[in-house]
Amino acid sequence: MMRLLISLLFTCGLAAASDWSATERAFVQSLGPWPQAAVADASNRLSGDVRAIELGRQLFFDRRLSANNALACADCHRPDAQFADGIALNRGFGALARHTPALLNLSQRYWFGWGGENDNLWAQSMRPILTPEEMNASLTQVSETLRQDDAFACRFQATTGLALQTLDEQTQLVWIGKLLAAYQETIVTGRTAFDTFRDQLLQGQPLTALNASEQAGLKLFIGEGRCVFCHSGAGFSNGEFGDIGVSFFTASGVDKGRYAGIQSVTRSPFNRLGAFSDSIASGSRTQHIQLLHRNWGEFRVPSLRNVADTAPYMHNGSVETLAEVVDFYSELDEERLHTDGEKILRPLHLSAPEKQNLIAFLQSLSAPVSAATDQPDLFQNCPQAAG
Amino acid sequence: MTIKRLLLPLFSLTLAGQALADCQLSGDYSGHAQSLSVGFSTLPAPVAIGEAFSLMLTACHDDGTPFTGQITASAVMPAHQHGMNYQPTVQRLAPGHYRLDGYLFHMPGDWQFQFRMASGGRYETVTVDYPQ
Repeated sequence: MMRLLISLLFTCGLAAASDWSATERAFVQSLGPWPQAAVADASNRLSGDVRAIELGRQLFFDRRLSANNALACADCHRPDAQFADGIALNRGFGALARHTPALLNLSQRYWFGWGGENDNLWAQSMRPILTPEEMNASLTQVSETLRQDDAFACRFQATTGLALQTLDEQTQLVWIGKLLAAYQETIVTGRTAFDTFRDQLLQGQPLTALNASEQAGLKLFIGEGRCVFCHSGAGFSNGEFGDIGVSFFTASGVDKGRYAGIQSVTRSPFNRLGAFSDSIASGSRTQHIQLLHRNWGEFRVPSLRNVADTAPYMHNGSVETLAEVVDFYSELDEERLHTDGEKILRPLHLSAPEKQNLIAFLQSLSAPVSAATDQPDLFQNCPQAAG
Repeated sequence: MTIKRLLLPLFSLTLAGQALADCQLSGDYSGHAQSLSVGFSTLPAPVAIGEAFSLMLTACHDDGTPFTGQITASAVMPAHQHGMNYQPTVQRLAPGHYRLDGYLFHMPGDWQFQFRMASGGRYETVTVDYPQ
């Protein structure tokens, strides 16, 4: 009853700076600042390099990285759709079991893939190229295609200092992954209404950036909703994995989620501790990761920046709208949670106004997306790229 | 000469005994079990949620001698009934002095450090609260 009253008071516009407790202020502060300072990926010496970003951008839109020149990265990670595809489960050369994630603010992350199958963006970028259900290319095909492209070979050498022809197929693919990663790191979201509100609250200014409903939703998010325990930090994700009771059964079996992800990343020759990494020291998390039974059915905690624009939701795209996500947590089925998992989630049983407030707050986390654009003058000493 | 030969080893033993008995706890946090204590600081301090950190730890027996056994480290959130996703590694730098790497708190809230101290076929567990 008290919760409902508080919610109604906020909705009626009675919120003021003094309504925010020290604890609430601390939580709000922890959700910023934004944007974050750019930090280069130490495992990728091309990270942040302007030539690598441009060459990676060209590869991102290049369908020659797939079988039959059918698909580019950008065909599923569409720039006009938050670098996602907007559908539950896409098809490449076969049916996929996981939802295509939006490629936003990736330089802030350590684990990649819904199960954290990779600990770096360049290895994650190599994966779909060779996956039969996705781009279905082969090492040999990619290598031969690019070796025969004089313009690419020239640009590659100008960027990496290496002659493409001298590299084996595997090493070539690693460099392609590093180029693709350099571009994807530039895809970022801008400042949101929430970010302005955060600054207003911390600086003692009038709280005008969020309306009363959005502020009430924020209070719920950092308070009784407990959302902030997992959706924490400036990226609204703790970067880890959780079990929220979404089914891990697929059309063809079981998706083990983080459990298989840990097995995969620790075995991968392309992790931060391997020979292809430019900084083994950057792999401390990978070195210390431990495989636990509770990792079964855990999936990555997604960022909530631009969450209102990245439907559908969950690792399998099984929830269509933001309202349904809120309903999911409100009426959470605890029977579906791991008995040995984290004891954080419980049904919230939100009222209709509370649900509206929470959705309003989540919508305040949206901002325009920007990414590196064409830089035609960078490779003037190389032949023109084909078509 | 003969007396000097006899006294020198005795003098050395005395110095060594003093050194052993001079085990000093250090750090911003401390905890005690049945017969030993630990002190430690985090690197960096304070701990940032979602960021890896390390501990510099000293461990002393109650008789003043440094602990030299094996330490198994973990941390838990008692309210949430879960631990970390990572297993810290322990490096002994000198008798009583350890460096622990690989910690990461993935949620805001109250954590508790746990140290299983094994030596001479027995062990004790030291727990230290880390409120946030």
